[in-house]
Amino acid sequence: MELIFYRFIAQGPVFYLSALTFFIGGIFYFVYFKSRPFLRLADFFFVLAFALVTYYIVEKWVKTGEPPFKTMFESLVYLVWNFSLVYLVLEKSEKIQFAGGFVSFLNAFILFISGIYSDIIQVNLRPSLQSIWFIPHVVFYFAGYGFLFLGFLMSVFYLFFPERKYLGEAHWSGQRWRDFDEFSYRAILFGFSFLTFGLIVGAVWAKVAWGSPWSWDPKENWALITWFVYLTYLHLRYVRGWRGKKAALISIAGFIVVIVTYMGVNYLPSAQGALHSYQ
Amino acid sequence: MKRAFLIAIFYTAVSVLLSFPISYVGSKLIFVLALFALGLIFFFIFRRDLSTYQFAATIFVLLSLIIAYSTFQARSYIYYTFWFNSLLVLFLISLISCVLMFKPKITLHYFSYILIHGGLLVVALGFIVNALRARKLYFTLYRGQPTNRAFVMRNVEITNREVEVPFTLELLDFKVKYYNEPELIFVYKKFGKKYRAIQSYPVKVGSKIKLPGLSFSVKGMYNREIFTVEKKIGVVKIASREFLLEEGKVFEWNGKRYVFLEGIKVPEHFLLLRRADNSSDIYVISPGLRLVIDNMLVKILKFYPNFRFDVDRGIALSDGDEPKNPVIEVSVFYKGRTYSQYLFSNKTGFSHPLTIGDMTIDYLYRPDSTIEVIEPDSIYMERVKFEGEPIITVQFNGGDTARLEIGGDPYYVKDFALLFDRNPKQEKGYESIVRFVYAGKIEETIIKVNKPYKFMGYKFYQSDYDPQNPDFSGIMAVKEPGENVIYVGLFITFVGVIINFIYRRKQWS
Repeated sequence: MELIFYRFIAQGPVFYLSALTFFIGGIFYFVYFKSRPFLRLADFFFVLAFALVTYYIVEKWVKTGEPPFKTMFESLVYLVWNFSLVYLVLEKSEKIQFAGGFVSFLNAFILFISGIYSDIIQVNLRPSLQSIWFIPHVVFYFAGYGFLFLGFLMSVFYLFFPERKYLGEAHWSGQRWRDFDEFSYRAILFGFSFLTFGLIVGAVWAKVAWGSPWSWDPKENWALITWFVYLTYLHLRYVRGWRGKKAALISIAGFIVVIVTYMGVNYLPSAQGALHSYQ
Repeated sequence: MKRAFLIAIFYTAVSVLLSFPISYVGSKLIFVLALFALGLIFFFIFRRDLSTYQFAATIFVLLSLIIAYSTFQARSYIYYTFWFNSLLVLFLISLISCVLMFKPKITLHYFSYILIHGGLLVVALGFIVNALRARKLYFTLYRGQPTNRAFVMRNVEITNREVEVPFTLELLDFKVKYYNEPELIFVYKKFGKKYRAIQSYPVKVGSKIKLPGLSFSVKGMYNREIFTVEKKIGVVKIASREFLLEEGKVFEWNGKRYVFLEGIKVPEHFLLLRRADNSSDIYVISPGLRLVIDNMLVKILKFYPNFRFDVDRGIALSDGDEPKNPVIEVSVFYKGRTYSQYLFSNKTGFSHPLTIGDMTIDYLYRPDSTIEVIEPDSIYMERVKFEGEPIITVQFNGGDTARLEIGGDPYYVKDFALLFDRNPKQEKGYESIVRFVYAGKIEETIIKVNKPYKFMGYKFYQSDYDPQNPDFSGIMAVKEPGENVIYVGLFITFVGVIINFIYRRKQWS
């Protein structure tokens, strides 16, 4: 814990202040449940934190001249950026302020624990990553993860508040998305579309780098499993009796599979000598 | 849901049963025909069931579970078994039957759905063409040895089967490129008994580094020593032939040994250099001499005929002039560092040679050698540049300063340790410069990772290299006739997803 703390602080003030700002924003989002005016304050901190993370990523990119998605640590920071961007885009248009606290705390948490993976040495772009497909591949996938995360969050909300009316009361009134099931579906449809783009770009890239669009590599396999799970979710929506609670459970399972694909694959026995894993 | 599940299980059971005789026969044709037949039969019997959402969901879950299971094995071959491929066929016929079920309408919705599903069908078609017709070869290339033979690859494995190709391929050069290795300050902190790395920082004079409990700034950075030394190379005539001799280096010809060294008449002191590849050289030396040997600057400091180390005073001295225990003191400057040592001629338990990297330097005192000292006709000077490693000075918050040397010992302060070192070596790229010869035509090109080269319908990939052997390169050649079909299918799917975005936006707003 102490080691994580030191590595976290060692990333510099922009980095640790962004985590702190997310944390403060998160507190205000929860205070806002009780008192409406706090929303603006919470939004202010969230946007500030997002700006700091953006600055951190851009500065690193400019300094090293390499896209900062090369290592587990860098990708975690970029994940936070995506969670924040998707939330900010949807907060106003879809009125999902009630999720702000959860997103903020999670972002602060991810930034803090990313210290476990922090890069002690300077990691350079490996030969296989030196491709024009690298950036779109990562951008599509992480945008997808951002949407799928919100879909997952809404599914969890649905399990706790399945009644549509609940959110129509008191200070949560005026929000368009009271139907968590429907919102979750839309977020997943977007997220899934981005996954599909990522998969397409990945196949084209794999052909250029390794000679075949598909090699049954563990990361590829788990990306396919993720894709299948969300395909299941999308197809079952047309089947009577598979919306609501069951759909929410598939969405939650889907996000767990996303986490396995993203982080767990490195620990699989088949990942030894695999093509994809982070260092 | 139940019905879809039962059909999928039934199909799986049939394909598993069939896979035994098929793997026993081992014929690719039968493998393909059986896949085709099984798919066709199920397609006609269960067409309606296969087109349902329930069935689609069932096959997704089934495939997910099997693939997930396969990743828990270190190496899985299930992707090439009959039963696994028959499940992929089941996925395909389900996709076909659902495309056939769509009722054509002129709506965005219909277009997006037909493009997404149709695109995936085209992709599947491309993969089928590849599975039937793709060819993968693996060339083991050694520099300067043209070959027209390659190993056949099955999927990702290289088989023992060798084939001849109608062209020759030659490795002209192979290069591994590395990134720069900038100097970094590594900060460690003690947790319990162990020091763990916290972070590394690039060295910039004036930069401040702050951590809870530690704060310091980089005061200065300079290269310790930079100088050039002239290495003498003499032209000597032995039996009316001319030779080039390095100063001090013993040269053997026709069973006789020669050396040229200024200011010496009778060779007494010798250095023996042994390299990693077991080659060795003998040098004649004398106290006060500076010699360039390989990339080392060797300084011969002092000779002690009867060496004794006075422990009380901490100095070396000689008991008399009789060479009872001859020792020479040398200092060697190599890759920015100085190594000093007393070298003993008498081999006892005390003495050991000076080891630098994987070279060793040893000393011998032989006043009765038969080496002939000759005078060179002329002397060339060769300039050799020596560069010292950088040194930095850091100043801590309290005002204390510390000097850190590259690769030197860590500097401990409170619970922290500072280490000055280079970023580890990282590979930037692998490049094979190759030459193709076909029917008298010659093509030369560079093959790199992510930059395959197209020749005679094959794409050539930089696929392997051997860090121990710089003359080797592994090149994979792939001919996938379904490649473009897959690209077209992926593009159609891409367009379908975009149209679906547009449709959803309209529907939701």
